[in-house]
Amino acid sequence: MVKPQDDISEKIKGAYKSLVRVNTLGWIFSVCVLLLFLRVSYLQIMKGNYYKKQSDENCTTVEKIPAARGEIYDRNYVPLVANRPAYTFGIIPRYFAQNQDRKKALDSLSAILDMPAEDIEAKISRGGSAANFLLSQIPVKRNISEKEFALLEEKKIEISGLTVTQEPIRRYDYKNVASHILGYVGEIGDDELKSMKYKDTKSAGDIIGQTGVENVYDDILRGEDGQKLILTDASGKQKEIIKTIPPKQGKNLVLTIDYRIQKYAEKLLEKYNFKGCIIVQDPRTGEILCMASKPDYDLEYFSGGVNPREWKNLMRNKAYPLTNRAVQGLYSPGSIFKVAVGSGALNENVITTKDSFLCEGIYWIKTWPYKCWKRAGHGWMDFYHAVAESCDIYFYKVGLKMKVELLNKYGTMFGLGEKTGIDLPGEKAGLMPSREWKLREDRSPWFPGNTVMMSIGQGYITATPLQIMNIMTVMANSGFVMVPHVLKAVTLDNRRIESSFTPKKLFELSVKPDVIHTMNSALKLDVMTQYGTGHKAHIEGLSAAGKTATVQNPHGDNHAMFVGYAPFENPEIVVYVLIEFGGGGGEAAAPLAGDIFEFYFKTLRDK
Amino acid sequence: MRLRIAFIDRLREYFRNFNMVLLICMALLMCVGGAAVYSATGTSGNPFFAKQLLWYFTGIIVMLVFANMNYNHLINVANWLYGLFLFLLVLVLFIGHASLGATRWLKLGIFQFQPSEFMKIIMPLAMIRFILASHRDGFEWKNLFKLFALMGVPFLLIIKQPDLGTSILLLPLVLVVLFMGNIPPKKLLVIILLGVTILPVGYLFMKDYQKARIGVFINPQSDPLGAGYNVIQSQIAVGSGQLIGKGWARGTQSQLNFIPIKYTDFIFAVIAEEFGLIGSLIVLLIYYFLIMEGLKVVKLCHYNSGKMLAAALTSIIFMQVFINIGMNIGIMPVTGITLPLLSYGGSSVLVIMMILGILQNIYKEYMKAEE
Repeated sequence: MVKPQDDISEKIKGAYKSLVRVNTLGWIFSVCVLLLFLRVSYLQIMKGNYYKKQSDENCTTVEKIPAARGEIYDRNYVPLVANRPAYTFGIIPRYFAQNQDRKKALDSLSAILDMPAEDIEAKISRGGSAANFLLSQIPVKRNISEKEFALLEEKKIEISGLTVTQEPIRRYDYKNVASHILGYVGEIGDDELKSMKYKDTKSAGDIIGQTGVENVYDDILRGEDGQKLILTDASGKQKEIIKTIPPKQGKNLVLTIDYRIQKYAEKLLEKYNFKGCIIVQDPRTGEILCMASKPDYDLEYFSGGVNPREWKNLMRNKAYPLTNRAVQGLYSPGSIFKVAVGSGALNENVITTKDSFLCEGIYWIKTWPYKCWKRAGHGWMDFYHAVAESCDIYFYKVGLKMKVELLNKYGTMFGLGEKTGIDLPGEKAGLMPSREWKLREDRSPWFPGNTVMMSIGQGYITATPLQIMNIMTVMANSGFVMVPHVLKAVTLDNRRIESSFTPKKLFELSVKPDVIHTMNSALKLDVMTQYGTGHKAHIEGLSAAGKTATVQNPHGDNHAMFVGYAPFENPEIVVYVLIEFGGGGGEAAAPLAGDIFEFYFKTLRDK
Repeated sequence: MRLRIAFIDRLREYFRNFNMVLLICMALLMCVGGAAVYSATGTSGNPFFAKQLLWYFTGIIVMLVFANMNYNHLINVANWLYGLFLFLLVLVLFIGHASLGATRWLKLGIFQFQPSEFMKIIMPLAMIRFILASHRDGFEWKNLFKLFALMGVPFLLIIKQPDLGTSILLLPLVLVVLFMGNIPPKKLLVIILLGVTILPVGYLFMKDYQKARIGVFINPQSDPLGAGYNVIQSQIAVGSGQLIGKGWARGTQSQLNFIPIKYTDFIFAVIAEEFGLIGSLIVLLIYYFLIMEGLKVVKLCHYNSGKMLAAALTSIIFMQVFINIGMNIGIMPVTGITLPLLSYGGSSVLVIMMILGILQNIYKEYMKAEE
């Protein structure tokens, strides 16, 4: 085709031109291949770890193996809270989303589980956002019945993303006993999930302690959840288990509670259908041996996730069964406050034990009458009789001499108005009023009438039963109070003690020793003599001391209170009894305290 | 023994005029491709691997046939081939077999046949014939216009299928042929500028799924479980291979089906995941040598027709490599372009083997002339 007469130079020129063009193509191609290489290197080297993680998350389903919570024992290793296996129904949102007809799937689940479809949907959406892994499951209903279990297993075939796993739940062998102290467990709420305490460790649907020691010692009780890593393909089919990390059960709690006393105290309250509480404390260490608060609730309600209807009933109940009266109830300390007033008066030399005041049954400040509980009057009263017979007018006069400042000083010194720091949730602080407080809160000056009411523990002053009890505990210990607590020790399995609670002092009185001695003698008279108001707490062969209170309250009958300790010489226990609307402290509360003394010193000792 | 030596001697004699680099690259790619297809489909129960080997074998025969057939004959019959395949493309429109939302296949008994794949070779052939036939006025505007009309018809038919990938691939092909045909640079520039201005108009005529692909190309996270899924998953596969890879047949992304259609379009992601950067680099290097050797054939060839043809064929391989790997690593939109010799598929393998055969022939003609 090439003609020989073609111009040679033209040909060379053309050849050179096309050489340049081929080289141009070569450069373009080279640059493009280099571009590919750079991009591949970037993906595999610079971002390799990132994509490796993504691919791992892609193909691994993490199934949580829930750890059993630690068990809870009383001081003698009676198991108050244990665990039992149960089935939990859950949903894996990612796979559940693959269902064609989501509405229908939800409806059929709703019918099986007897819970509204919206609730299930809410749980899924809440869990979906909080889930650490894309493929983790959200527990929807715990403790499902065998029938539900069978029905769900069937549904698993037509609905994808359903799981039924075994999970330990709480078992309560003694139903109501110590329910306030133990507390219940429940699913973590939205707010709690965001709080610092649970933020990194818990995800939606997890069980946490809601009240009682379950709540306070949640971090000890909850174990470490195990994990099952499962290789899963793109359609959600599980291929093999890559790794299993077994769960670690939580540590056990040994409480200071004595099951026998707790049970006995609750029976006592139940027998008369009383509302109120009984606290028994070892003053030497602050250990709470018994803290019964009635009415209470059956912990079984909560073991598998609370039934909404029962929950509503409990919440609406006017008797407040969910409230632990011992630390969450606020009452006037009544005549028990006279212990603080009397000690203060002696210590400040406002009175001596010899000083007597006349009680005529009524005391007038200007035109305002202030009555003694004994309408006929006590006549001339010295210190011992005034305490033992709980004469109000004696203490009105003492109080007026001391003025509000000193009342406040000694009230505070005896621990009122400050939390005791017991290891139970929701403790209230109560109120120790002062002149400044009234001006600030009530915008009115302090009147002598206020002082009069305060001197017998009425009026503005409020305290929890535990604080009121501490007024007696400090006398039992001759001047100091230990921090009250319910935790005795933390144990690992087979009772190996890991750590014990070290008792700490809560406060100490700064009064002269003979003041305490004098007051104790007076308190002994209260129980040990016929004329003492707390005489009904007396049992044969046991010397005890104590003080009654009959607390006026605007809602109805007086609250009956008694607090006392025994044996007098070397106190082992302090007993506090409160009976709401029970009437006279000496009549209603003191006998129960006597029963407790009897049970503790006779029945338990004889065994 | 003597027989064997005699056989080897005859084999050597036969391949004496063959380009060894092209042959070796081809063989290496077949090894890699076989391993990758086996890994990607080994557990699926379908005989993809065996079929692929069959395609390789058929492909080698096809290559030998084309290597021994003077390429000028092909150029001479280009018009007839062009007419035939245009007819087949029209046929696809009416009785084509649809798969994956596109109608690209003709059914011939048990085989499926993709005319658009072959159009990649036939178009440059037809163009070269046209340019040669019009001698020195080939690049007059009048003739160029005719040329574009000639190319535009199959282009539109392929777009209609729809096969955006192949049709887009044809555009640079036209440019390469013109470029190597020594078109004056100014005219080339004008054509490119015209093309760039017309392209955005083409976007208006795209199907929704094609627009979606372009959309997710720009931002894959806009639809992570839908159109963006391929892009994201293949990038995860490539990235997670890191330096040395997860091991053959042990890539979780590919073995657990996170990469869709992994044995064809996303075979590179499988290789990159299982053999890491080292494997990816080896694959890239093989392709680079292949492409550079193709350009060497262009340089060696004395004739304009051969130069144009060799450049066009080399460009096809290059563009398929660039577009396919590019979409595997997220720098190109997802299209149905296969990776030469690595992707599973008969038409794809056969076309590449034809290209290699023609390149071998051009090389052989040069060697013969030298002798």
